[in-house]
Amino acid sequence: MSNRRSFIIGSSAVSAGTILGIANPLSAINYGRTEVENIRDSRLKELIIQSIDSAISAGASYADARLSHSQALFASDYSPKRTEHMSFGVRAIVNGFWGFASSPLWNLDEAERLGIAAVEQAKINGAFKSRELELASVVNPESGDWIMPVKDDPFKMAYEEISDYLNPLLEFIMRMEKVNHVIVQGQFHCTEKAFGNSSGQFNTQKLYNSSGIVFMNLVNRNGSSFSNSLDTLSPAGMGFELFRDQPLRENIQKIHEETISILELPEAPIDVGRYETLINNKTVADLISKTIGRPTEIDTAFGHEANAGGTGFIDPVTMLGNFKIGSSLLNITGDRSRVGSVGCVKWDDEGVEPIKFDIVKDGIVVGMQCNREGAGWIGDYLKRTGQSVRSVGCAYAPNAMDVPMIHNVDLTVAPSESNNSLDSLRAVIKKGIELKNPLIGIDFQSITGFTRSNALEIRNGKRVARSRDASMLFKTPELWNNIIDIGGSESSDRFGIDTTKGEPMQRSTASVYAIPALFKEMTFTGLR
Amino acid sequence: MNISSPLDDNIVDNRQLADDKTAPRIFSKSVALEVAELATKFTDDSGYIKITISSWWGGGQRWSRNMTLMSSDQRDVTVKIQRRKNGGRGEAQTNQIDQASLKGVVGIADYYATMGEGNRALDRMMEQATWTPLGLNVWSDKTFNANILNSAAAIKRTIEKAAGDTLQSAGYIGTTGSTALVFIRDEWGRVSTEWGEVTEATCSMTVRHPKGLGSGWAARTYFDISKINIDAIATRAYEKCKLSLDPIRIEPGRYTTILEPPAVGELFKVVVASLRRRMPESGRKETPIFGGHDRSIGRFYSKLGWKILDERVNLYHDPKDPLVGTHPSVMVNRVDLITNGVLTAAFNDYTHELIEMYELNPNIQRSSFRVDGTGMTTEEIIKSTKRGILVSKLTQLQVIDQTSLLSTGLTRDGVWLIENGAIVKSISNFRWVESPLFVFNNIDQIGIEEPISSHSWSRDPLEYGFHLAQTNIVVPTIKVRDFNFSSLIDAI
Repeated sequence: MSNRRSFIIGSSAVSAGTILGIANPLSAINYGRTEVENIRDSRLKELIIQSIDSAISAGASYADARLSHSQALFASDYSPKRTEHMSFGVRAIVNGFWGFASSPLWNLDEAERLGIAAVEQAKINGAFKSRELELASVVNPESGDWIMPVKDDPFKMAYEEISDYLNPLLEFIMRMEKVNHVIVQGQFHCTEKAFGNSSGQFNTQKLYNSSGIVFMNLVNRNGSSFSNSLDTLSPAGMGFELFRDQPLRENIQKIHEETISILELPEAPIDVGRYETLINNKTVADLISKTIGRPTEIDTAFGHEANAGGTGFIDPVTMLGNFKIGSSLLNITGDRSRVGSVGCVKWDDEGVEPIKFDIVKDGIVVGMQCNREGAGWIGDYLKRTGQSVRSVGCAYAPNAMDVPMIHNVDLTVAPSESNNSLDSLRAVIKKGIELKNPLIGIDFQSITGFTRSNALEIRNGKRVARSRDASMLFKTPELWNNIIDIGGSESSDRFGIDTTKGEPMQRSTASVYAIPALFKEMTFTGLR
Repeated sequence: MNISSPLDDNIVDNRQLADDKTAPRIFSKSVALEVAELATKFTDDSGYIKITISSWWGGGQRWSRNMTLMSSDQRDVTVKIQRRKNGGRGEAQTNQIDQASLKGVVGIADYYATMGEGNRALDRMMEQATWTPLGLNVWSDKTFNANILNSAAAIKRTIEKAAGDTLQSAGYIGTTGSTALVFIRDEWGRVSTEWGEVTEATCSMTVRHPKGLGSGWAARTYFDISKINIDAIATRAYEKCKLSLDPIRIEPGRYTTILEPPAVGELFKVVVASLRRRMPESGRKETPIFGGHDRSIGRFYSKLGWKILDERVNLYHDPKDPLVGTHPSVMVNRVDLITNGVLTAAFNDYTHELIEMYELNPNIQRSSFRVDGTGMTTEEIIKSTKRGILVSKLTQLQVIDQTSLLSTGLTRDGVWLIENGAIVKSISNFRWVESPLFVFNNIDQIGIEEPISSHSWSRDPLEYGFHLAQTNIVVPTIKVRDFNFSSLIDAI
């Protein structure tokens, strides 16, 4: 480990007590704190280095530090909201144990305190025997800066420009037939991050996350209702172009027309039994996240979430490379480097540049979502299969205030080479069920689950009835092994899926690119 | 880049949070007031302003698979400005306490208030509203200054006990201290302030068989860490795990069921979340407390005054209850929601007051509550049971039908068959489908109430502030008749 104290002494451009901050986004005039132009300012690098030096001097064998500056804008017609959050977090290893400390202060005094505090936290575990904690080396450790490419930075736009775009949509939808309730909202996040570690790596990046809610509830004369929302505004690693670059009103009209057609279907209870089942791409995305994404997070798989969200059903030691979780049509990759995805980064929160990796190949589980510590847990498997023992870039924390954990990365379900669409897959069903955005429940090991509501009965390729209480019961391997056919690339869409994890609980959002899929013999019952 | 200001001399910076040895980890009332006063300098006297200054410190230790994962020390602060002007609403928030940030955050809330539509009529109603300061103080120095080495030693004993029996322990011990100042200056120039201080200690742990053949869980949350016996929690989780090994599968169906407090809490959460007065009284039938329509006065009414649960159920929220607590920035009075099974109050807000013109004091929706118990222990309830099922915990709960509150979910961390007053066998987990309204009208016996730790604890400083989603619940063990287990599940 390099000791960088000499570097610090030689470059004291900022005095210890000075509070630094990125140019205040909420004010044109600034006084009281020393502004820096952006996250790339060399004085912020000094803070990072100071905290790491402090931790190493206090006895850490490894330390890393992060600064995060997050802004959020919640645009709505009722009560707009803007937030800013700055944080500084330091992680240290002493005798194989982790310690962490964080605060909202950006100054050299605090940098030093956080380094020492992180070591003190790690030393608390001195009651335990020291252990080997091996971090997989970072492939091509890179220092640099990256800005997520977006066309329209929402934080550089006047709020009126955003509200003038969104608010008329409310009127537009309220005038539509049978609509009785509408929600139109936009949410925009921008996070600037700096990361450094005791191996000398330092990088900075600016990330965006935009999303919108366009929700409508339609009611027909007999009081029966059906809700729908616009999937194309699902969270994405984009700016305001998420809204601007799509034919928003046309898309709204399409879902309105679809909702009207569904609402006109008679409501009928479902006969308990097994059905050929068509699942739309958004639901496939949700199911993938819950049944394959979560149990392939390596810490979950090894039981580290036992006291929180639960463990998983995939044992990496015995199942990796041989467990058939789905039909050969099922191929899933993870990749946080895909631009446009909500989880896209240049470096994860351990300074690792993410790579695209296989999780399920031809229906077999072949990979896990790893950070630097977790990669070693499946080191034997990785070596045996000719892969390097490395993190694939899954470390994430909502901001520097929180400890980085393994969170779901952006996942892609490979489409088939066919031209299959939701409509063409429906057309081949003689008697079956279509699930359109039902709610999904899954147990704490991701084995057994169910869906509820939003089931449509299909006869001879057409929707003929809807059922509010139909519930599909499934076991994860059975579900994915029952795939008969899947959509082609034209039917693939990106959806932002929220997940939670850890104690204290952290939330994250990852994109899942998914296609509609047709399943054989799925079990349905009525929940009521 | 470095712009100085004549106001610099007066700066209140958040270095108050910096040093354990010489400065507090959280704001004192005087510092918070100073920040609030500074913020008000950046506003004009028009309209309504609410300034919430929260500060928070948290320490935590997490372990799993018989090894510690992480020890942490975190602290943060939030200044939230809510403005209403001419009926419009705007809100802004920062965690930076310098004059530029305060001016910026006030300015942006002010500006947004001209953009949001808000509700002018609501403001007129607010003129008559009054507020009595609560002075929330659920504080323990023992928690705030807890020696984390003691926790580490307890975790070591826990791990050694589990490892000695080839079991695996996982858990979390956390302590937090938070303060909040709420400063309100309304449209008519009236000023009120509210100050609160809260500590909380939580300990939860799971002991599992390494091959997933059994699992036991126990937890406790309290404002005073000295009253939490970590070793006793560890022993309980360990014993439950041992008792849950090698479960047998029994037929799903309706069984007399003893629900331990964590299970009871999940069901009552659904009931409490549904007690919103606005819904039934504006004619929304899809709520369990919709009463009907009075044609003579042309108004919908709720089930206020109706008996909706067993007469032994008393459910209330008292923000001064140290076991229940409330975040100090949430300004609420005590509310008795269900008394002797009768619905005596429901949550409402200013908007609802406006619509119905009932009363002026709001009764803000909250998720923490207490349900009174009796003196009977869970063991005594088991002894009195001829045949039934004992459930530790319910999880993954989803409401299927809002009108009846029909819900589904899973059992977790221990289900046992009881025969002739004794636990005879561990059984596999179930999916269940049941309405808490049905369950709590079928009560056989009620036991001693216990505080339960909630997993809904979360913090998202950009969206929610720190830990407003925290839920503290005190509920008893309850034995009910005919609880509906619908199917078996494989998860353990």
